[in-house]
Amino acid sequence: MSSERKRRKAVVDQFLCVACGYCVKVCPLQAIAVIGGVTARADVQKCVGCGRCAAECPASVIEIQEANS
Amino acid sequence: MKKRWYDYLWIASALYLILSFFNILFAWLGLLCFFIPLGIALLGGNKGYCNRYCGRGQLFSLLGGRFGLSRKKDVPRWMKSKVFRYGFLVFFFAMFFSMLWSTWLVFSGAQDLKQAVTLLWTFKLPWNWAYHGTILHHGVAQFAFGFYSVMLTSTVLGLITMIVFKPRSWCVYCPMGTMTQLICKAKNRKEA
Repeated sequence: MSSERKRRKAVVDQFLCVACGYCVKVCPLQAIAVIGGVTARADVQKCVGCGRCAAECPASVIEIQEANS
Repeated sequence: MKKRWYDYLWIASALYLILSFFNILFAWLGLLCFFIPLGIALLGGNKGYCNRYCGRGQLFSLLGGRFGLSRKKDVPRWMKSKVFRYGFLVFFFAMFFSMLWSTWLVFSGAQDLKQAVTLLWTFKLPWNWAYHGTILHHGVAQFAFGFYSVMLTSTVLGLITMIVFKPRSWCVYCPMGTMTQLICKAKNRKEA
């Protein structure tokens, strides 16, 4: 295992997202938004990868992934 | 996070179900849950209703979340598939139009008023305490019985999936949510 610390971010499966907006409600940093009523998208600048949205998403279509940046 | 007035709309949803239980004519108010989301999607091109104002979603997250009535398991893959969501939308609308047809039959005098609520499109429950006649046509009450059947059926389905899966599992296959998302897709593709 690498000791290097990677940033973790919420990634939404935009094909399966139902745009209910519950992730927006539970995000403590307002780092996720529903774009045009079609899908949710996390703001990589604000997201700290806490995983709250992933846990609460009714459709379970949000994953916390390690980002390269 | 600071609570806004619309975070309490679950009270309106609960009140709607309770009031209509005792007086079926309150069921007409449920049309707001149809026209407001459609209006927001058509005019605003967003799912503001789902995102903020849906009292039913709030009720499920309250019961399943704070009251701990949910197993909090992932919904199965098929439930979030487009085939199931669009299929359920079509089925729901077919049932809705069949309900409108029964209402029309009462309005036209071809059928008598049936004081019953049909649960899960199958079980006819006698419901003779909720209507005692008004100056209005019986068809007005027939629509209310039919509409309350739709609302109660979706609540029961939502409660079942709330218990078995995540609190707001209903949002995954909610016909209004699917329809408003389709409208937003069409609208925002044109504008983009």
